[in-house]
Amino acid sequence: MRILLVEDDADVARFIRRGLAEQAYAVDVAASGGEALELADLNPYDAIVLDLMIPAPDGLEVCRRLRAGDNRTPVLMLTARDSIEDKIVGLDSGADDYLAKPFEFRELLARLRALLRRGGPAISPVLHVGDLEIDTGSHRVKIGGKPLTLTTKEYAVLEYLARNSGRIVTREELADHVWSQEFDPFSNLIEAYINRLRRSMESVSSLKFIHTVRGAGYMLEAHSPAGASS
Amino acid sequence: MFQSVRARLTWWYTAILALVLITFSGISYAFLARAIRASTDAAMAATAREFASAFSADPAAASGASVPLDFRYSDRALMVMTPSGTIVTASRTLTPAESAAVSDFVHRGSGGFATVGGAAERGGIRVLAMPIRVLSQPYFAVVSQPLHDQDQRLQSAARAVFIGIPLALIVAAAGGYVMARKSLAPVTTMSLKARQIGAETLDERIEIENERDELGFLALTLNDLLERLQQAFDLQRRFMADASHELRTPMAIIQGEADVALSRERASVEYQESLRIIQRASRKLTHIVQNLFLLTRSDSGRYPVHRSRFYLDELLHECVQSMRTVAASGHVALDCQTPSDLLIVGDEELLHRCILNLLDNAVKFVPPGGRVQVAAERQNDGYAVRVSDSGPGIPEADQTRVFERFFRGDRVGPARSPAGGGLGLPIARWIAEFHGGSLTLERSGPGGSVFLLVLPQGTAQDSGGDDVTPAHPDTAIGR
Repeated sequence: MRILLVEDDADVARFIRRGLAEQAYAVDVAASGGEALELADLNPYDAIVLDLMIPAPDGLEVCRRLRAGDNRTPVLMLTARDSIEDKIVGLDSGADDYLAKPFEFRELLARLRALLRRGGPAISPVLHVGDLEIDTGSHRVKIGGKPLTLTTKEYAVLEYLARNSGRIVTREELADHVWSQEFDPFSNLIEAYINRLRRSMESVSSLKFIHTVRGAGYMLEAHSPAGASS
Repeated sequence: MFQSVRARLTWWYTAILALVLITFSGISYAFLARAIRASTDAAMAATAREFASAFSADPAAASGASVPLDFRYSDRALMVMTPSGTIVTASRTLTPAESAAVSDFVHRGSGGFATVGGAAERGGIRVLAMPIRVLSQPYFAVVSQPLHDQDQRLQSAARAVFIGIPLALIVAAAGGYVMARKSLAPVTTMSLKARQIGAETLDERIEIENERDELGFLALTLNDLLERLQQAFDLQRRFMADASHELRTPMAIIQGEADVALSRERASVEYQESLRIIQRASRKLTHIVQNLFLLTRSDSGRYPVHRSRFYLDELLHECVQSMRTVAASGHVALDCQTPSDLLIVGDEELLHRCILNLLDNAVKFVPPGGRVQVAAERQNDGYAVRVSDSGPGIPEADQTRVFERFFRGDRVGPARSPAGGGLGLPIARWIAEFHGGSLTLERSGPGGSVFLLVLPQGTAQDSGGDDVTPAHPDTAIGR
């Protein structure tokens, strides 16, 4: 899941970025409204964490322009103001949720997860694909009840594939949603991750989950689809 | 008993009206009674004279058993009596009691008017005995008239008064009450409205029915009061909102940084980095809280003053020195030009803070490679200190607002110092004014900004002692 964090205070941006990255999110940081709009235009973010008080245009304006430009990415507004009026104005500008500073980091994570559930096809916080079970809250993965140990990035790749199970996910899509801007599109990092994931999964289950669709991308499915090969 | 104004008004109104009515009726009754009696007496006297002359002219006719028919009045009895009280002739027979009373009166011989018989059992008789002489013999021509007729007229008049007065009072009291309630109704409405208005509804106003009457004036006055209250309250509320906003960012950093740092095992370097960030944020928090305290105390006018004599030029050098590190980190040149021996009397710590805030503000907004200059000079009875910078200047629209609390222009620069938080300049200005001086933005444009701090030298008698404004040491909180 790729997140755009719009925050001008370096210290605030630091801990949010770090905390989100440690939860398998790919995070890009924008320090001003202008930068935020540029990045949101460029990359397909899964959610935007938007501070209200940022150098022009401010958070409200950014939100309005995003919605005016038909960008439906869920927006979590972050602000140091918490009066009812502020919340109303924030939500009415197009934000999906509102969190006042200071906040517990766990709450930010929970709200983000809720927003991401709303956007995607999966309603439950626990994803199921056949025997595969992914708890998006605790990041625990099980196959047939047996736990699977994954690194943060591996988990992120698997979760993205699972959210889009039964559909071909292109390499570019994976790069866009699982990696931040620092990702080098010419590296074979994605292949490496897919291979490692397969190995980990094979170690607990004989079933094949991740299928390569030649020339297109990858697909996560409980059984072997026709025309696919590994 | 009468809690409400309208009940009291009605009570007084009714009481006064009752007094007036009773007095008036009493006097009227007295006059009426007198007039009725006088007319009865006059009629009796006329009858007596007529009867006497008729009797004197024709005693023969009268000496008989009958009085001339002319004198047979319905209820008036005409008699002729000897001075001893014996009836010579009578127009009609009186009851024995009556004739005895009349005889008795005549026998006493004084003549004139008298009321005899049971006056108490209302049915007394008015008697007029007029001495006459018939054939040289003394007689009395006596006219008697029962008083029940006259009494009845007076009684019905009294009845009218006894029924009329309470009736009039009841009507007047009811009318008065309604009037009082009607004219006082706006007061009730106003009170109810005023009671509803609280901190959350200070924007509401009392409705004014008629601006020109007394109650309208009262409502206007109350609305004025509400207006002023609301303004003060809004100002305070905005200040609180701004203050909480300022406090929230460092609080969020402390909380968030700690949350993330503790979410998993980390290397000690990472912990150190987190702690440094938390330390920085809590310093900023402390600084803001101190500034808030200072401002709150300056607002309440209770700031302990520690006046002393010192040299302003030394203070300026000291401040410039302590800003050097910050300025250097932003590649800003800092210099100070001041004549020596600028003796001043004031609160050294406050003035130190004032100048530091000015320097901090200047350094913060100067781009790297720029310069900040402090220049002092003697001026009249005090000193003028100019802090000029080579920054981009303050937008014209913001120039009047830089001294507002929590105001921050739309100037984005690297935060080189934790000071300020939108309170630096307001505090500096307060300190200047506290010393009887002033702090103004002398000019600002593309060439940079110049802040002018004017301070009086301070008088000699002010020096030495510590005092507190307003002088009450207990309420002053030490720094």
